[in-house]
Amino acid sequence: MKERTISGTLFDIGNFLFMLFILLLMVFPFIYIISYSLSSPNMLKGGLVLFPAGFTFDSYAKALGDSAVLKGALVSIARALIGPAVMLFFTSMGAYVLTRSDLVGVKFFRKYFVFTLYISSGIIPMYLLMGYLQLKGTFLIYILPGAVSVFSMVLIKTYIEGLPKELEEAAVVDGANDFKLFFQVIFPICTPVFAAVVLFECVNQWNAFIDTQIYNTMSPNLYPLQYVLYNTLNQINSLEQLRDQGQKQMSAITPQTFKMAITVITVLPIACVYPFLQKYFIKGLLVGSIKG
Amino acid sequence: MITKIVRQRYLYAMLIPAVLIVFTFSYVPLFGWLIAFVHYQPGYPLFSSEWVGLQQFKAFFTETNDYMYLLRNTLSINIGALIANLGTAFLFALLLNEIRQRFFGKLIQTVTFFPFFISWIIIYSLSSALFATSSGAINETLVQWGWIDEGINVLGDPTYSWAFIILIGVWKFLGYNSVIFISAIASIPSEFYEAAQIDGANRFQRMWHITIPNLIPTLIVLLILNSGWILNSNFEQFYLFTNTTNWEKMEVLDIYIYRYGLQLLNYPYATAVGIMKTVISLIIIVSVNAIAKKSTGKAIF
Amino acid sequence: MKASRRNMTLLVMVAFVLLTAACSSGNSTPLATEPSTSPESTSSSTNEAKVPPQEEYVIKILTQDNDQIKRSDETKIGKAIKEKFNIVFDFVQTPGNYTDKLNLMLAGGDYPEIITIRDNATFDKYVRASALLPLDEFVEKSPDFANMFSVQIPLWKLTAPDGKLYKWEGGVPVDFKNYIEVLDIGVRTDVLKQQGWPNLLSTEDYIKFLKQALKDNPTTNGQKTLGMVVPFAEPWGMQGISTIMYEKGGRYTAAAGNMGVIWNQVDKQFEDMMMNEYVKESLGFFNKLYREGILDKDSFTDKYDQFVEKLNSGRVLSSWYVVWGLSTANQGLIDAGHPEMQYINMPVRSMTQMERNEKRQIRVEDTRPFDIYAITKNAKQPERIKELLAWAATEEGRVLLQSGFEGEEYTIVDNKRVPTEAYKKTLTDMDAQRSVGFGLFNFLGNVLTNGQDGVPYTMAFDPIIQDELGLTKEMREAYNALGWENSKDYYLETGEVANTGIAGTVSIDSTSELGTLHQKMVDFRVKNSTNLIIKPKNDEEFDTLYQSVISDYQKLNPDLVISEYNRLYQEKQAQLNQLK
Repeated sequence: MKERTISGTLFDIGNFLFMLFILLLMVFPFIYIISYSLSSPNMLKGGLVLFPAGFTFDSYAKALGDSAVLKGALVSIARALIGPAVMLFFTSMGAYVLTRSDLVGVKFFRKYFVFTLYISSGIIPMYLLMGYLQLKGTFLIYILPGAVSVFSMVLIKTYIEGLPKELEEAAVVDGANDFKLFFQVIFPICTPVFAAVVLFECVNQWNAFIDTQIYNTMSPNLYPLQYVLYNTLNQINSLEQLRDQGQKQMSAITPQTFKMAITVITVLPIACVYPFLQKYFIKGLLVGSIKG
Repeated sequence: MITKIVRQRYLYAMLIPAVLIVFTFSYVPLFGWLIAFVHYQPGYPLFSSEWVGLQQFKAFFTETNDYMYLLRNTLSINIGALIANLGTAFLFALLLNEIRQRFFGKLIQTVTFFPFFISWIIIYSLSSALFATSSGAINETLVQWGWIDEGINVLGDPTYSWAFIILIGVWKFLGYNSVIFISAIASIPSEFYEAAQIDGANRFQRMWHITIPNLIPTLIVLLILNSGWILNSNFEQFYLFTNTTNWEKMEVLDIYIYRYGLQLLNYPYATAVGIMKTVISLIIIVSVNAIAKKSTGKAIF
Repeated sequence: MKASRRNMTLLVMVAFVLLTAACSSGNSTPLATEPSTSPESTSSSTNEAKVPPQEEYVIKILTQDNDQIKRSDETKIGKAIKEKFNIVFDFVQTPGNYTDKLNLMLAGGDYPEIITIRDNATFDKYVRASALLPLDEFVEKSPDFANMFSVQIPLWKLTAPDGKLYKWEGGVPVDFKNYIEVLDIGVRTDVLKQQGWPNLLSTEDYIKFLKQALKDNPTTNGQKTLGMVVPFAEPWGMQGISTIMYEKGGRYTAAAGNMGVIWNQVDKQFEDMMMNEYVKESLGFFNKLYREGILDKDSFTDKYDQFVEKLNSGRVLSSWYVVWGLSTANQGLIDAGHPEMQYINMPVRSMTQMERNEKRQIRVEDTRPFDIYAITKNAKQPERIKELLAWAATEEGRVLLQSGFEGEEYTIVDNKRVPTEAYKKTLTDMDAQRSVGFGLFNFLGNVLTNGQDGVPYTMAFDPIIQDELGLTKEMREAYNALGWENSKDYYLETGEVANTGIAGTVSIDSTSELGTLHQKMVDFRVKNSTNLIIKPKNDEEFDTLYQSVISDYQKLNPDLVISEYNRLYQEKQAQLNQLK
């Protein structure tokens, strides 16, 4: 059942061109970044770099040559898998309960959660708390503080509230309890919003290294990939300082080329995983078939 | 009441874990607010430090009259960025939904997500490579073509600062922000579209009458949530893009707090500012939520 | 539909399993680490006197500049330390904001056994929280240490609120000839040659020279030539180097940093930076450079990376102050086939400085508060650390730590150490340097003076070797063409040594009201410096604007900060006299 109108076709063409423009705008910087990361530093002459000047893989060799990289990648993958799973479990349950206006105290709980988005207690009390809970130096410190994401909670809650009410009502008539209602009726049709919040959490976990820097510096076994790379970047920085102090250390890497390489390394897995996640975003719930 | 609670025991069972986690990691650390009221020295027990009361708060209000321009910059940039970010993400999700080539759509969606991973320091060198007055690629080209006599100083001239910093943010966060709208579009039952098509609605009518109305609640929720962060700025971004030529338009509250608090290791001061910002944020969010509820019926609590 | 529901339940179950797995692994970790540390700490308290070196003592060292070495016994020097003391250092990288990290560790009480501190304010906090062990007794028992740091020890004591010794520092003491830090202007040598190696000395000389050079070379390699570049957009840019002319000739040094005050070495007092006459001339110089189109307009938005890229391109005629990027740029220019375009560091003075012709005060640091080391009360066997520290201050220890091994890194000729080719290789080859372990043990002190044989402990600091390894052939030729014997020749003639002494230890409490005022003075200066450089169209306008800026500045009451600095200085001077 496809309709073809002139205005529709024109719109399609315009839209396509517009998206092409967006595509260029987003891809073009990566040409710069990739070229820069492959350039040898003393050949970089300022301005735009659109192809590598003095081709070298040194930045990548340095980034991936460290023995800690493999272990770091495993920690990062563990974070990116476990973090979102745990977050989704606690957050989605909470979010569903908050949609139930009949719950005693629901208004209090809604504020109780939302307010935490705006409360900042500072870094020192957090550090003391983590020490007190004995979470410092453990993997759990990556997972537990983020086990409830209030931002995601609000998104999920909004999504559930947007669903047709008949679904819940039908299930209640069938005599399902609240557990079953959530896990068997609501949970399965929330895939799009779950995909969104899981994506956010995944990306957060994948990018995170500040928590390692604050709490887990003494536990090299728990360094995620980003932290290992950040460490190497730091070494390159100090190497450059040495060179600046007159020690003639020539190197084909500068902090800048290395940062570019890190960006490429960080983006690659996302470029591979994201397209697969997108099937959960596809338009059109089959509400009818669930009801039936 | 009791029987109602007992009846809702499953609901509480699902809620309590989240309540406890949030309590531990968000509410317990608030004991640290004490730092603002005492003569704090790291390494000393907090509770036995000398009490100084509201000294830090007074210092914040009396010591300077810079707040006018700091607030002006912070609010202008953040409100501008909020509208620009959500607006473009909304529009982008809407248009992406109309792309008929599946593969192309996926490609765009993936690629727009990339800039999110570029650190601000790299964005700065990219901006410089493109926009610097004498050596930036764009200015060099324009001068070469004779369109302008002298490069446009986007990075330094305060005239362009706000627009520039907002647009850079739009570029970086477009893909990230649009994910929520894309997931919201996915929640629209396909029967709606089928029914509309049978009724003879064309594409634009369907966008206008089905897609957009279904996205509005998400938009409102995001607006409310973000309104509470209106005083917060991304530190790294402003630290990099503020220079001595554009500071009067670029200096924001968080940078000022950094300079007079954390950089000087003044934890009580930084904590006092944190408390005030929390209070202001909560007032804003409660008010905006109330306004939204009254005018649109949508709210987050 | 059924299938998808099963998937979802599966997902939930996976989440559960992962969660429990995470919980159990998390719980086991602290239990596993704790017992391993406790026996050692008990043993240290039982046998205080002398611990048998048989027991290996592993000490964690937080480092920000160690490249790849994880354990000290991977290196030659580290092995020697292990044989002698059975102490091994475990290096832990600490990237990021180190001061924050130090404060957090102090708050949490989990600082390491030996700690590196990078500013006096944090050091003060550690002392006040009694986190550091006093070293006074140790110094009495270790004459080598007391000797080596005889100038420093009283100054170090001054920085502690109770007058005790809690720290030592790296990079001191310094022999003036080994470490002349003069950073003026990097100039492209082909342009110098073009104009017949002119004798550039004053700001006016440079303006004339650069103006002519721009006229002669409107483009370089097809790009528009830039007269002068400066990375003003760095945090230290406008704040630190737009006003730095004050240190180029006579009286002042940067001993007080580049904040609100400058140190007058001759009259022994702190003075206001903004109102200083040389600072005015410094800003006036940049204003003139800007007016003449010599100063690159990007300078105000360029950070170090952009600055270096411009140098690399060779399109730049000169660079202000930041001459440490020159060696990279020069190497790049050689690689690109333009060896004639390399840069050399050359001197500059303001017109008044020329007129007065006073000796330039070349700063020599007596203390380096950004390189502080201390033993904390978390040290399990502090006596063994002190033993090692005492050895590190002996001639044997110093030579081993900084020169390596006889027959390998150096040979003895006429009772003097002479560096071998292998040693020279360590200066240019990171891997070679790493396997020896140079630079890895700076936390045991790093001394820039000469050994008993008259050769610097770090042989690379020998001025002849410095030029031999640090300068390219073309750079040496350029200096010769200018009539200099070596790159430092001119400065030794026109300057004199200016030890920082107490001046380097004076600072006001940054969290006090005066501390805030001080920060405001710096802010004011930084913001108005830019205006003074950009806005005036001629000398009169510059003067008018300068006058109005100064009258605004005085409304801040900067005198309060200046007199507090001088009061603290007098106070410390009195204390120091007592200590002596």
